[in-house]
Amino acid sequence: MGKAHKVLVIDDDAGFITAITPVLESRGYRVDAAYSKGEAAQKIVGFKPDLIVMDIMMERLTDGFDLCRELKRDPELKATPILAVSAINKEIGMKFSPKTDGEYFQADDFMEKPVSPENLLERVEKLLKV
Amino acid sequence: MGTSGITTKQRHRARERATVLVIDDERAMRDACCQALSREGYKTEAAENAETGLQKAKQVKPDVVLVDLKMPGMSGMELLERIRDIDANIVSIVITGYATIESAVEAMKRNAYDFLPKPFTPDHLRIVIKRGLERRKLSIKRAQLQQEKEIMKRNFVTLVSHQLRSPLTSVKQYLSVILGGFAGGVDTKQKEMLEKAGKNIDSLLQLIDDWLDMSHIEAGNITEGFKPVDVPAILSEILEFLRPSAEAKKVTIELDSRDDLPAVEGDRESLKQAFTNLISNAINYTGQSGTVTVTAAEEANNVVVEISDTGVGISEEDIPFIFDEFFRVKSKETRGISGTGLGLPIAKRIIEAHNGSIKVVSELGKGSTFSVFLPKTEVKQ
Repeated sequence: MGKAHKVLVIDDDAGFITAITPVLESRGYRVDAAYSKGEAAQKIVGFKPDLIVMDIMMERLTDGFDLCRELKRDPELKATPILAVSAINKEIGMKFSPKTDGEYFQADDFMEKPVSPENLLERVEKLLKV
Repeated sequence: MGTSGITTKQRHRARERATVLVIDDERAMRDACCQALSREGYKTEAAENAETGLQKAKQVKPDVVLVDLKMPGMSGMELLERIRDIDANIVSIVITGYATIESAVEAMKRNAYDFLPKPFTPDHLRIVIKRGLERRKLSIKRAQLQQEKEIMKRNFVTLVSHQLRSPLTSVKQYLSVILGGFAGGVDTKQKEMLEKAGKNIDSLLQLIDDWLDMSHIEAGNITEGFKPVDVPAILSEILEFLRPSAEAKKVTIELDSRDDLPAVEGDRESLKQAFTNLISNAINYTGQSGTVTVTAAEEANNVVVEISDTGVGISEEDIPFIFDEFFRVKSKETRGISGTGLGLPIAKRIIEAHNGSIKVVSELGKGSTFSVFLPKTEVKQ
């Protein structure tokens, strides 16, 4: 393996970031965190992540959706894989998935919280290979 | 001035706020009504035909409207409807010279609250008006309380989902990371305890999810967008899904259904959840080497699904309560079985939201049979 892949974790829940950072670091990924949509926008430019792990519902219900759409519209960033995470399915009874709602929700993969560490690493690896 | 004088004055002052609009083409009737009511302290307004009456109703927003059914121009019936459209809380009382059952029913359908057959005495008028006003007060109060209740309920759901579920999810997240060894070594004893803690978090999360499901069903969210649903297909999916847990308990599960059953009109995911709850319950409450049999058949206008088990059964005293929220049968046999006490109530609500019904026959120590009746769709699929 050459240079370590960089993963940006975006979530307003600091607990989630604290919990999964050692998991990602265990595979040698370089991890940085952003706690809001605004901070994320800055870190994406500065940190230049190879992959983004992103919560869908942050300060505003639509933050994740919006950020996702903005990134996928940006010609330079649209290739960066996005792994969305959320407890949203259960919380508001809304059912969606990148497979069926790709048009509205252009994440490359989706995981429900809490995420299993093994499963998370598997998905991250897969997304980085493409 | 004695005390009674003050009370009368107070009564008058209170009544001054109540406005009665009299709509009648007969002048004598209008005047008589207004006079009798003013004397009681009500504010009165009068109109000689339906059009003017409607105008005034919009302007003065009366508490009560007296409407003569027989007037030239717009009919009294139409007028009643238009008044209801202005404000459903305006109490309409109909005055009529020929009170027939038919006209009474017609008027009631259009939101009339009461009837005053001509001729009537001023006392009769006052009693009817007073009753009408009480009714108005109650219905306004009721609407307020209903609204408050809805808001409280909504807030509570939000509170539960965000304030409880999020931190629990976070705790669970930490546990899984620690158990995965990503935060340093964990010895066997610690691992065992953390796993137990994790299981407890799981049941709490399950409880919250069940509870949220329940409020979604109550809010009527699932009845939108019903589609024809193939019940046997759902059942075999569920059995496929539950087979491993049944096998782990050495419980045999069998499905017996015809493929050509008519569809039922419904929400596939919800029905799947209802049957999953019933079948996993049957598995949970059946001991080793027991059998759970699921059958689906057509019976009269229904698709009937029966879930029978050879499990612990339910005592006669417990049967009336098994669909109550958070009720759980407590006995030696059921001690080790975990659950939220919401599985059956959720199933019942889902089935009832589909215009179906559920019944149970059970004998302690022998097993239980839950029968679900769902109306089949008219056109055969």
